[in-house]
Amino acid sequence: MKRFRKIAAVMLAAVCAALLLTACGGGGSKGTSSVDVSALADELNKDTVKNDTLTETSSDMLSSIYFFKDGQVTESKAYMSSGSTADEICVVKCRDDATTEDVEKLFQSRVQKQSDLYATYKAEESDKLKKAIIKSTGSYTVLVVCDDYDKANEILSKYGF
Amino acid sequence: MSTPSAGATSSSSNPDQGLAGLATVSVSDATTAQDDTASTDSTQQTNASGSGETIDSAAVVPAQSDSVDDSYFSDAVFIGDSRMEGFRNASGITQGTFLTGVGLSINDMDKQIISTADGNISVYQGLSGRKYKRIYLMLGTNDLGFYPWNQFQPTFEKAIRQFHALQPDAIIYICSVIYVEESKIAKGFEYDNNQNVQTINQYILSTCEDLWYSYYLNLNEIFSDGNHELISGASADGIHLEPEYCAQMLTYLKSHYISDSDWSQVFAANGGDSSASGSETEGATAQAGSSTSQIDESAAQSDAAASSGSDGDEDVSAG
Repeated sequence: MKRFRKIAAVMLAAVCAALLLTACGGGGSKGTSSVDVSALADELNKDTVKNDTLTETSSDMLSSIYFFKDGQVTESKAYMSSGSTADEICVVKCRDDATTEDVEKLFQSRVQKQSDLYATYKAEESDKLKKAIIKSTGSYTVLVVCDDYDKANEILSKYGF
Repeated sequence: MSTPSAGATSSSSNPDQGLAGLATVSVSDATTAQDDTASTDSTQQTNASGSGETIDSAAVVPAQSDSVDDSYFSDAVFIGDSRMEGFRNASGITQGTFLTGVGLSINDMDKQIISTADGNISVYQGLSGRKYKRIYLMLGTNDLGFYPWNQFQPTFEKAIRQFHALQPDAIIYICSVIYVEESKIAKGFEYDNNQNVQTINQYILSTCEDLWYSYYLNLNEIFSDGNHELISGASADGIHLEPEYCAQMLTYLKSHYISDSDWSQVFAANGGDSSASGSETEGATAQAGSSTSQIDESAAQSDAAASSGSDGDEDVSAG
């Protein structure tokens, strides 16, 4: 019986480990410290943008688009539109957990600005911007403006957001 | 004033361009061969490959044998609308300051709609923060159909003069308005048509010919289908370029520029003019980079610098 309990405990531990790994399939889980920035950005771009073809924007340009301050962001990947829609995806790893709050504010500011501009230019894009997703987990923050927000939330949940 | 080029292959009359005060432009066509029925103060013609249009004017930026790299744009500022934003987002460019905004038009230069880390500013304010060597301007798409046409050029020239007053050392590259794919233009936006594009480009070219510090980047040389329309498939919505074409535009900018030596020559001939607005030497054309360049020595006047920006490194850019 003792032996059975031991085996059961080992098996339970193995199952728990497997479940944890599954949860981290995208690179993270709720509150975990590791998200695969590139994989998440790629997946969001592939599965949530339907009416535009986004392009990976040079990371050198992101600070001048989102106004990240020096050292605030240590890793990033962004996909942006060539102008026909307001769609954009930006996944960043911040310097630390506390910095995500500042980066979220920068994303909110960006969304508000774009929404104001699109309101008189392409109203439907302005509506899309109003539903923009800005979320953080650990030291990671994402901005998603896309066509399929349900799918985006599903993907983000998988990655721990 | 530009003249017709030798070697024009075939030509067709331009759609009605009977604009008071403007040179009539004759546009050659790669796909049709019709008689040239227009006068030719300025002439567009097909390029050697027959896939686009070239313009014979000293104000047009020539192709250089050596392309620059991205560092050339480190002291450049890009001003423009959503098409310029698309270029920033999708071309792969890694350097440069961008003062851009969706829907930006030439009337918006003094409106505080350019976002920065410290709030919104106007384009003019953005040009006052630091010193730039080059200004790239891409506007006009949002001005199609909005103007009594005779009001466009004065407004446009006024803005360019103000750019020069704020950045007296900078060369100003003005992009032609890129053609649209008319069949894809959304209902209600029918004024976004290629006849209007050609009209506005005439005004822009004329401005470049008038102001010695401004040059015309003829992007339709690579984006025209040869029939005064955007290459089919180059845009999903008929206006904004697909990524691969944004990359082509970057390649074009890297190979089309005024060399430093030519610019120095023009700049010196115009007295290193760092004058404030109102004292430009428009009309005293001195355009570089072309075998037909003329340098008007008489235009060399230098006024005291008035409103050039500081050399600060303010992070001014827009989204």
